[in-house]
Amino acid sequence: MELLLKWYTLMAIRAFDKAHPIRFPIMDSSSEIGGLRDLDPQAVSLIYSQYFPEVYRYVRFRLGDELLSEDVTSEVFLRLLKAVRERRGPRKNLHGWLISTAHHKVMDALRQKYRHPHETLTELISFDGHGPLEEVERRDTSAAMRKALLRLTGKQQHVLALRFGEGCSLEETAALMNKNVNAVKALQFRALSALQRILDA
Amino acid sequence: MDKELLDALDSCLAAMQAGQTLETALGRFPQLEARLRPLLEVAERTRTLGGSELPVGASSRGRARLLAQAADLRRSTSGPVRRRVAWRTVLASVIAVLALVLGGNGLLMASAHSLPGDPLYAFKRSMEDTQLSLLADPVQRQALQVAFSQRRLDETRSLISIGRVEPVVFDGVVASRTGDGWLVSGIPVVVGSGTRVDSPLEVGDRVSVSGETGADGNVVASHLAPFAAGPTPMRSPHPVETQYATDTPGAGREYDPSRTQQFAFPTSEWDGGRWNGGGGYSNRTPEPTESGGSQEQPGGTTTPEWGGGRDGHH
Repeated sequence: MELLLKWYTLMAIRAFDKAHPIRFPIMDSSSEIGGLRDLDPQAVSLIYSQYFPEVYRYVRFRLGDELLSEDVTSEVFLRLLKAVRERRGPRKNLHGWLISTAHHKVMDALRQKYRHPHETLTELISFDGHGPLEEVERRDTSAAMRKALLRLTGKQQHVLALRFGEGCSLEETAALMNKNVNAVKALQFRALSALQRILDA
Repeated sequence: MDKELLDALDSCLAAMQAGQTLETALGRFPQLEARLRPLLEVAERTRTLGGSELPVGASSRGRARLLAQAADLRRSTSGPVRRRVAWRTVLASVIAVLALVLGGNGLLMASAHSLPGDPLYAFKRSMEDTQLSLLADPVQRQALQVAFSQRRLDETRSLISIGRVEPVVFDGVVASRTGDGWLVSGIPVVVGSGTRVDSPLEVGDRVSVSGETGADGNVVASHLAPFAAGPTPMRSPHPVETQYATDTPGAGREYDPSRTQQFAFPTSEWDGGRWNGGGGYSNRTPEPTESGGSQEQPGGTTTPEWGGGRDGHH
């Protein structure tokens, strides 16, 4: 009987949800997520527009490769759709969830890259108006930096990407990493120190 | 770790992020300059890694890809869609179980007030049989048998009160007898020339009465049998069949064979075997495996078969 009652209540709630879907533009994370559940193209598009730049910048900072970054960013959003559909997705902090998922996807991509190393063409053919010599120099510096960055721990790379790739404040970084401010201060200090040691070596 | 150094580093980073130069930022911490400078230089270089502009078309390419994937997801039966199917299955099961429970219960309730001759009466009696068979404790079983005996009396009274003519079987105590008119547990019973009485019966004896309710408020008995020993008779012994089997000459009343069929309980085979010593059904459905034994019965005995195997009381 109790089970029947529970079931009935659940069905009633589901029926209510269906009759009164949460629609945009109520722009707090939980309503955004609610709109995603039905995979409504408008809702998907809106969330994508809002968060693509941040997720993409974060991924590109970590990976450098633009095409690979596009792929990984797409994977992050697809992961979001699947998670929300299966009700395992973010509940409130959509931004935090996306960045955290991006971090994990980047780590997956890096592991794959180490396993199947190959030279990426994108950095070689990208041309942003500088002369050829400057471009080569810039690329070399950038390559050395990236090499050094990859030798840091995942968390150190993560904090640098948030602070210097995304331009997040200390507080924002703390919120996205689910850490307190002092821990982030210490982490960024260790990350910069380690990077400096690697570059000087 | 030096908290001052950490705070100074963060302060410089914030200042540089706000647009100050490295030198200006460092100027506020001259005592830490040696330690801060290399870190801030590395931070400056790190900032260049991100790149500034988003590549042209990246956003729209990603959006198109995502919307296509969303459409695929919508079409697929994953997530809530599959869950809805599961719910449907659960719903069907719940309804089926409920229908079974409530329906079965309803049948039982409806049959509770049925009288001999009613469509549900056979069901009612078979449920009583089942109840008895489920009881292992003899004391409990006897109590239930008494209750069922009382039911038979109540049924007979009901039939009489509505003036319906039906074959009945019940047990009771002879309260009085004056000529043809007997009173058995408060029910007037006519014992005429057509009534077979197995042995001399006195007031106070417990008897089993087989007969038919009459329109004039009594039961016309076809057969009276004593119950001197043993527990209260627990089952009606198909009295009409008995009547045909024994084929008593000069029976006062004609019996309608169709009623016989109504009154026989197809589900009580076990009961005959258990309580009637296996002989109870022999003249109705002869067992092909029993050689001869079942063939001897019809007409060959004057003892109603339902009493034969019970307690050897006659």
